[in-house]
This record gives sequence, structure tokens and C-alpha cells, in this order.
Amino acid sequence: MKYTRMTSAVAALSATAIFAAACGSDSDKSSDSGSGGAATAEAKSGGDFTGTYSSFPDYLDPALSYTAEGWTTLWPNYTGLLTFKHAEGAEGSELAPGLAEALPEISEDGLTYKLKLRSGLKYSDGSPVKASDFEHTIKRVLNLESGGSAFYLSIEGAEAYVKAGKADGDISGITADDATGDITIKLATKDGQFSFYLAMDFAGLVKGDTPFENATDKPAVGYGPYSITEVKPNRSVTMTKNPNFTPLPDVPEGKADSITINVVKNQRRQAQDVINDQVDFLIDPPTPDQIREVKAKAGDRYKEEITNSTYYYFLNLRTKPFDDERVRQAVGYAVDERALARIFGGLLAPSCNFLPPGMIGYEKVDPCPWGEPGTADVEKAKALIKEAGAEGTEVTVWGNDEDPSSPVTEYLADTLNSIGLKAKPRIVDGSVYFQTIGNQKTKAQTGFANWFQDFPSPANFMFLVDGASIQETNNQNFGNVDDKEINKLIADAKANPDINAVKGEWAKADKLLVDKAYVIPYGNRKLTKITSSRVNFDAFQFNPVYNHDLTTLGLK
Amino acid sequence: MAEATQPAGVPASGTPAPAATANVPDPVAAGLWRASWRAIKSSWAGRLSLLTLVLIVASSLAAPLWANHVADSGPLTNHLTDQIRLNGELTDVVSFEGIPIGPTGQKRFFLGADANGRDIMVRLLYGGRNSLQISLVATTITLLLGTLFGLIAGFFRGWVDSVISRGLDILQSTPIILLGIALGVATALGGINLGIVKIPGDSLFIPALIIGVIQTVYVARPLRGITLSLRERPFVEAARSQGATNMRIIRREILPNLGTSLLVLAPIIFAQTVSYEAALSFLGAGVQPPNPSWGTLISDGLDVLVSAPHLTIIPGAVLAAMVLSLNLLGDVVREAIDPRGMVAAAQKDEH
Repeated sequence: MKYTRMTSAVAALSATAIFAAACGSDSDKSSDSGSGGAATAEAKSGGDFTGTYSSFPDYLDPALSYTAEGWTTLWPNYTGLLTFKHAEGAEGSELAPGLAEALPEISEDGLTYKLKLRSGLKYSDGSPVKASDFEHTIKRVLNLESGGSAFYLSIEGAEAYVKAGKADGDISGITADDATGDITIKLATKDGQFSFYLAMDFAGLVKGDTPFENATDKPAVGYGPYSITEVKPNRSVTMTKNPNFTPLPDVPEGKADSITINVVKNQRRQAQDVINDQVDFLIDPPTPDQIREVKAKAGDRYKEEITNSTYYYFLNLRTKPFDDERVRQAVGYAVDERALARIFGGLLAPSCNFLPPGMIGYEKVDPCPWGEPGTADVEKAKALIKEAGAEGTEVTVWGNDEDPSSPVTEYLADTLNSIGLKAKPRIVDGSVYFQTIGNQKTKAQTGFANWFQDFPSPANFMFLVDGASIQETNNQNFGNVDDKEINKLIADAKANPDINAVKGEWAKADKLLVDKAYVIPYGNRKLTKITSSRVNFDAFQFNPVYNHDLTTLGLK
Repeated sequence: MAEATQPAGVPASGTPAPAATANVPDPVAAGLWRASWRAIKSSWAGRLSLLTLVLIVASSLAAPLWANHVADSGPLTNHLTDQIRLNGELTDVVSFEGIPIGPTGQKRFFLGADANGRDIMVRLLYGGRNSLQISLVATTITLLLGTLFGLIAGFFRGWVDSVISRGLDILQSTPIILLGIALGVATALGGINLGIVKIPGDSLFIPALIIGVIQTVYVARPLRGITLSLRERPFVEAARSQGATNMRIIRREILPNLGTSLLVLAPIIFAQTVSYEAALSFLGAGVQPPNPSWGTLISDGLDVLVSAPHLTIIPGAVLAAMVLSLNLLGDVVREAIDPRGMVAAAQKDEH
């Protein structure tokens, strides 16, 4: 998922992972989740629950929503042909059949996906779910120019459909038979990640007559354990149990009778309310200075979860002094992840890898070439800078004005100064930051970058360092990393739809990135789970893709 | 033959301008300074505010001394993983949860640290330097531009006055903070590039220029009113009848008579400038991080307001003391040299 605003509550995180940080952190006594696995007890059904968000979901329309608030809210209401398992840890990243009977049958050339819709399914309004609704769902994503439309442009005829600009046009690559439930998707270009796209919220099925317009005020009819029954724009949203829902093997029934989510801007008040049992859950972490209080007063209902995210410094290989590997290595030696964890208020798991620990293909880079995360060797860094003849080289460190980018940027500038470079930070408005550093004319030398997964595949991270993704403008390979070996590993691995078969390639690419100091990863963001005392805390799951799984919210 | 231009305030006839008919009091510069100083000395508010100002300015100027010889830390130096001995125990400068240490009363971290482990006392002193530098430059710009536009508009009247006055109307009708934010954000990225003149985005001159320009109206308007009045005075008529050019009349007859107004306006504008600088920096459109200013320091402390209130309170208190002192000093000076509030009246008339 695209870059996040952390100021008001780590707002747009898209996914999380539950594995413990493989790399150590200093004096971290937080209750990070362990190696995942299912919750220990099942919640009781019944009860009306309330939760709070810092900001209202961007859209209450699965075709459009592209923020954590939106995805967390919509997942229990809209199920796609495929879905991710309602589980924690690695299991929660696994693809599972949703409205389809089974995972897709993929042709040998990787261009044709065949699925069959389960029979007898009914939407929340009682009308039948039809195979042709899938094409309508994808048409809405494309026609509404959703941020997720790029995922579906590989379908044959999708680009022509967009170009034609007719909502009721046809996507030639999708054929559906309402009588048999057969759905065939033909791709114009091979995309090994396509099954993941089918499980994303964008592809959550909506009824075939859903208008081609933003349905936030009057949410579309869908299929899921819940249906949205009341929306007060920018204030609250209520979902109640869907009476027409039939549990599916990987889509269980919800526990709560109803869940109301209110927008409360004040994060401090949010945490106080949940500590005092006035609210049942939050999705945003408490403010750093509240964490101690939360741990003291409600430690048994507070947990930190490591997300599938990566925070790193990019180093532009096309600009001096980072075209010299020794200078990049020096940065690796000088950056102290312990220091950065403090800037994150402890909600950062230090890491040396670019891939997050919850991701398939993650193999801890061990030993980390720059010393274990949480150590810094400034003297060695100084020596490397001297050896490279880069002493006194002027460096602009780019960052944006959203927390924690600004202090993280200032930290790097100070660190670079301490090793002999002449650095100064350049903080720009968050709304233009990534476009600015993604423009080759800016010649951004180094700076803050982060990424949260859209879907649980290394491909969703590695495109950030893929030579093939370098562009003149809107470039997301900020460091212009273009290593033939890495490029080949990425190209081969992402073409293969069997992610487990290529995890070795992903791990190798990850290690090469670190060894050659193309980027300086320093950690993975943590989110928190906090509930009221009546909630069955252990049963309330934290899914690596959709974060807080509201279908598991229930009574003790 | 009498010189067409007499010493300031003295009309060509050689008779001092009667105070009752003049729009400004006796504007002899040396007298003004003396009168102001006497007023400050004789009033407790004057003495207290001057003492506060001197303390703040002197300590800000001494920032490098404190940083190098006492705190042993620069204003931008991070100490995120450092520990210091406090009451015999090693204590994190910034805790693992990101909570910075509070005031220690020791040489290092005398007023505590910020979220990046930077010494607040050092940053406060350097922040004061930056804030004062910006305010000084901005006030100078405001007084120069305000005098220029006020003088030209009031002296030439007609279409020149109309153009300048409408320009000032537009400037005044725009919310000043919003205008400042817009300009600040626009220039923060690329700086100012006017061909020969290039100012980098993080230069302190940019906020100074922005504040200086947007405040022009508060000086230009009253000075225009006073100039309109002065140009009709007999000594100006006398100069004109003796063949003095417009430029000479402005330079020798009008401009010196604006001294009182400028002296009264200067501390008020300076106080206002300090506030605007803090506001713009607080909102991210003034001093660019990591450079400190009182506004950025207050902003930096907001996230940990409960656990580390000193981060916000200390710079806030210094800022308040500075503005209050300037206003008090301005009042004392105004009462001494503009007892009938003519500048204020001119300002009011213009509004």
C-alpha cells in the first residue's frame, strides 16, 4: 500500500505480520506476537461493540478504498472469489477460496485463470450472488479510476475498457456463466501475483446492479459475515450481522451482533476510553507517552504487532557520493536502529532485511554486514568515508513533515555529519514528498522511505528496488537501484504464481540488496491491539493483511 | 536666505511646528530617544520589560558559549541512545518508548531533551537567535516597505495613492497567517530563485521576507495618513515655493517627521513579528527543521505534551515573555513620545 500518514495514527497501514522481529531490539519488553498461530480461545457470540478510528475510512466502497481503516472495515462485509485466511501470522497471509469453490486453476502459460462460484450464495439483501457480478465488480474498480485499478489492467481487454470510457462496456478477458458459476479470466500479460489481486478488497464482490459511483454514503450490497447498516459520513459506521450469510470454509461467521466504529480525532482520548472500558477496541496505537500507562493499567489487553512493512533510507546510486559502495556501507555502519526505534516510540522492530519478517521469502540476513541491528560503528563509517574521499561532500537528506519522517530524516542528517559528510535535511510537505523525490530532476540523494504491503508477496516490496521500475517521474525506486542479478531474480520470482516455489529467489535478492548497501533498511513498524476488558482479547485476531479482524471481535 | 529644508520638524519660517496643529509630536530624533529612555527608566514596566529583553537577547547571543563550553552539544546533535548520570544513576536521554529526559538542572540537558535527544537548553538559545534574527530582519523590511509605500501614497495622492492603497487593501483582506503559510510552504521546497538572487529553501531570510512583506500594511497605512497631513503643512508649502523638488521635500521635510511614528511602531511591529514567526514555524511554514526557533520548539513538544510538558512550556514561556516585554516597552515609549496617541489615531482612521 502506498505511503502512510503516521501523524494521525498510523493511518493507512495496509497489512501486518505477526512474526516476532527476527532481529533484536534493545530493551524491548513489549509483548510482540510470537510466531503467529491461531488465538487460544474462541469468543462468545453476541453483544454490541464500539471501536474508534482516528479518521474515517477514505471510502466505504470496496472498489475505491485504499487505506487501513477502509480495508479493516470492509473486509467483514465484502468477500471476493478468493480471500486471505481469517488467521494470525503466516497463516493469515495464505490465499483461500472465498466465494469461489477453490483456488484458481491456472493454465500452463499462466495467462488463464478458471474459477467456479459456489452455488446458493445470497447477498445481504437476499438476492443471489451471480458469476457475472465479478465482471461488474472489476468494471467498477476500473471505471471509478480506483487506486487499485492497476492490479487488474493485466486482464485482457481491461485497458480497452478503460480507454472506451463506457461503464457498461465489456472486458473481453472475463467470461462468466451465471448458470454454471464458471468464471474465466484471461490475462494479456503473465502476472504471477494475480491470485493475490483476486483476494484484495478491491475484488470483493458487489451486486451486479451497484451503480458506477462512489458508494460510501449508501454502501453497496455485498457478501460477508456483516453488512453495513448505518453510515454517518466522517463520524461513524455501523455494521450488523448479515442474516443471509452462510459461513464458508475460510470465511467464518462474525461473533458480535453489531460493531459501531466512531471517529475520535484525539488519540489520547481514544486510549483513555478503552482503558476505562468505554470503548471496546482501537486500531491506532496510543501516543508514545501513553504506552507506559496503557501497559501499566491494561497490560493484559495490550499487544504490539509487527506489520509487513519496511522502513528504510534510500541512497541514490546515480548521485554522488552514494554511487560509491564504500559510502553506502558507511551509512550502513553509522545508522543505529536502537536510536530510530526510540523515535518511533518503541513501535519499530529493528531489522537489517529489506523484506519484513512476516513475508514469505524472508530469511534473516545473518550476520548483518553492518553489525547487528541496534549497533553502530561510527569509527568504521568515518574510515570508509575517508577511504572513499567523500569527506565534506554535501548531502541533502529528504524527508516529509509527517511523523515519524521528519525526526528520522533529521537523525540521518546528524549521523551523516558525524561520519564526515556535510548533510542537511530537507523536509517537504507530505502530500508532495514522494512525487518530489520520485522525480529524477530532483536528484534526491538520500532520504526517508517506507512501504506497507498491499498483498502478502515479496513482489509487492521488491518492485521498489527493481531496475525495471525506474521512471523519470513518479519513480518509486528512489535510489535507482539497478543491479542485473537482483533484477533477474525479481523478474523470475514474480512471474511464478507459486510463491513458495520461489521464496529462495526472494531471499537471495533481499540479501544482495543489503550486502551491496543499495538501501539501508532499519525496521518494521509495529501496530497495537488494545481492547476493553469484556472483549476476548486472545480471540480477537490481528490479520497480516487486514489488521484487526472484526469478525473475531467477541465477548469473553 | 533661509535654507528650504530646515532641521527636521522646523518649518522654513524657523518657527517650530506648534504641537497642537501638528499631526505628530516633536520629531527631533535625539529628543525622542532621550524621552523614550527617560520614560523607560522611570516606569517599573519599562524597566522590567527592558531587563527581560536584554536577558533574552544576551542569552540568545551567548548560545554558542553555552553549547560548546557547558552543554557540550550542538543544537542539531542527536543523543538518542546516550545516557547521563542523574542522581547517581545512569538514565536514558530518550527512553525506549521515545520519552525524552526532563530538566536535569545539570550542565548537560539543563532543560531536558527533545524527542531526538537534542539538548533543549541549547536549542532554546539557538532558537532564540533564529527567532530574533528573523524578527529583526522582518521588522526592518516592514518598516522600510511600509515607509516607502506610505510616503509615496500619501505624498503623491491621486492614482498612485489609489494603486498602493488598493494593494494594501488586498494584502489586509487576506488572512495573514494563511498567506504566510502559503508563501512559506511554496518557498520551502525550492527556495526563491529570481535569476541573480537565489535563496535556499531553508534560509532564515525566507520567513523574514515573508513576514516583513505581509506586515507592510500595518506601517504603510498610518504613515500614509500622517504624510497626507504633513504635505499640507506650511513648511512643506514653503519648501515647494522655494523650488524644492518632490524628492527633496520627501527626503528633507516629510521623512524626518515620520521618526516619531516609526519609533512608536517599531516595538509593536517587532512584537507582532516575533509572534508571526513563532506561528509560521509552529505550522511548518517558517524556520525549517532541524533548525530551532521558538515556534518549532513548541511544535516539537506537542506529541509528548503530557509526559514531557517542558518541551512546550519552556519555549512558550520565553516567547510570551518576549512579546509581553516588547508590548510593554512599546506602550511606555508611545506614552512618552506620542502622548495623544496620534499614531494610533492615524492607524485607526485608516482602518
